[in-house]
Amino acid sequence: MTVTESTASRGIELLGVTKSFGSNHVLTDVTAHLPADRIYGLLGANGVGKTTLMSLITNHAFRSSGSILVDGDDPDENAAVRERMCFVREDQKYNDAFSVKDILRVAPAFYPSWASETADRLTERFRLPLTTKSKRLSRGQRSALAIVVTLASRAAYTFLDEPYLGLDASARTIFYEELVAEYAAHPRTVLLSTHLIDEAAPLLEEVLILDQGRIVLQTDIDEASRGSFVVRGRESDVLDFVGGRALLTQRRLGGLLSVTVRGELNNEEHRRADELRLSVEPTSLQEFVAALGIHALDQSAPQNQTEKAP
Amino acid sequence: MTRVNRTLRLYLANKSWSLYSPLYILGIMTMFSVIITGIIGINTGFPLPADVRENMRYNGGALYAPPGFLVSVGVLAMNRNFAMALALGSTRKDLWRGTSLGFLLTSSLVGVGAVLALGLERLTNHWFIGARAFDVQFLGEGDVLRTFITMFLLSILSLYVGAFFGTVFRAYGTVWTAIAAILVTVGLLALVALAVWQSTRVSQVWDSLGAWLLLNLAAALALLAASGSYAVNRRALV
Amino acid sequence: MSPSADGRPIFVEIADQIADDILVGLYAEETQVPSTTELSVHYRINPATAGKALNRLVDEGIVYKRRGLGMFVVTGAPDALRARRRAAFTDEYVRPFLAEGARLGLTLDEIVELIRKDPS
Repeated sequence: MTVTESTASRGIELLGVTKSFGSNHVLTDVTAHLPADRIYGLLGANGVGKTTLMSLITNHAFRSSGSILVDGDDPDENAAVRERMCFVREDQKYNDAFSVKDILRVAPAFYPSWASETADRLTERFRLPLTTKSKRLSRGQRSALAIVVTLASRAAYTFLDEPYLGLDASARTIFYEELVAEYAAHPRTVLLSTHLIDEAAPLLEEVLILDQGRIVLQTDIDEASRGSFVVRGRESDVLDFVGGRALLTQRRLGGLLSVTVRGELNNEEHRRADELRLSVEPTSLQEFVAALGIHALDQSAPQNQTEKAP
Repeated sequence: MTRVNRTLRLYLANKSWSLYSPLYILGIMTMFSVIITGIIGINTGFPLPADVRENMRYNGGALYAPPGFLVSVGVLAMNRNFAMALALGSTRKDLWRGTSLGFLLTSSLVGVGAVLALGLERLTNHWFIGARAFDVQFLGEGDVLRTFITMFLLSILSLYVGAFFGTVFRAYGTVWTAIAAILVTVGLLALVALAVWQSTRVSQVWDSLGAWLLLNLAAALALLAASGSYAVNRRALV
Repeated sequence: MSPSADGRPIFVEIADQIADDILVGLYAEETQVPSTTELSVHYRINPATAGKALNRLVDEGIVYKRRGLGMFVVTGAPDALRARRRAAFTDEYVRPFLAEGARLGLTLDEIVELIRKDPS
């Protein structure tokens, strides 16, 4: 590998990344390029492989095939690459003997750019009990500790997997505030997975939507926020209007049909919807991701049942 | 070196867990030895009768007390600290190196602690009542080098055995940890059974070949456990 | 700040918010508007989104960049904004208003009467 190659593209490159446990494919042929210093939202239903993807990039686990490059280098057991990463897991295990203070005392040794004032401020704002042993922390306190360590690390590659389980609305707001402030002052590559999609959406610059181990969409946040819309009206009119477009979900109420449609409408189509007296509502990013998930579930269920009789 | 230093710091983040606990344990063991000797002495009167004094020379407390705790330190160091080290951007290899340095420190401290306790024991004429915890036969009865090396090897063997099980658990999960534990336990039990069955012969071997044979064996086992934990650790998963 | 119910991107929302503030004189002509970082921290949005909002205002001729200093309100921006909003008033407010009136079966006279009677 030449020097130009390894410095050419800062960021994360995934090429045909696959992870399987026996016959169970958790990730299949994941290919994506994530330029450095952006905040990415890793979205999708439970079990689509978000945590696994983070584990492979950070070499917490080993991929089955494909290649992963971070700033041009393979992260697997690569100290120079690994030390630029911080991935405190949602179910992070700490040494039982360690108190919060022990953890916050040793973590700075791992990061030359450790921001102690950020750590102190966040510890204070989250009211983290310093002398409590790690195993006695509540769910919310564990999340808070993970956020403190992750943000204060200023690691060039920062991974946040469901970072606010157990945190209430005020604590989450503190997290958003501090993440944006830290990121604005010290840009870094952030991969954030969450189920509170609409809450987190404003923080994101790009989203990657995973479905059943594959990336089904990678796009910037504005594009993703316009990912789908809901059409509602008399069933025949709705079906007539949507024509051959891909429907993500459909629900009936008496003679009314409500469908979620992938994509956007142009002005002409808006006028036609008005003529047909159809209501057209944009979906939030969360509704779009949920619709994609429901679509995938509906697709896979009948297929599995009728596998032998095509 | 910085990278190894990080994981060493992780091992030392709570020193009363990783460094001082084995010393407390040896201290408590000594205290119990003194108390028991005192109780015996109250019944028999001081100075202790010759047969009791002879028995004291075979007090194995220093041998039995530390391993259990040190095995658990080894397990946590390569299991929980593994999860932390990888979260904080360390590699498996650097965790193993730093932790191994930590194991060396802990074991050396146990060795030095035992030697100091031995000195104190002899200085106080066996804690004033003829109680022995370190001035005992298997530590060479006052042999400073043998006391240090025996306690050092005992500690590092325990730590690496724990580290080995900790990494097997990380790399291959519960089932294989159980299988490995069963295999090692069966092996150890067989050795103990053999030793009990042939106890006279064992003490003959001990007397003729000296303790150094056993110490070499312990060193070899420690090396085996260390290499095993190193090899398995390279495939360990968070 | 979260994506609005009408599906407008966040950066449009923020740009409109700043434009509103300029319109009512919170930011006077030739004074500085908040920087990308200030906006992103205040609204808890991605700095790239805050940057897009400011760029939108630059494109619309509402603010301009002074190199090394930041973004400033263009002279005449409030008037320009007012003119633009007046032009859009029919499309954005009057037409939907009349459409709803028609759905309710109100005549134009009845609607005018309602407006007159409204105490505000």
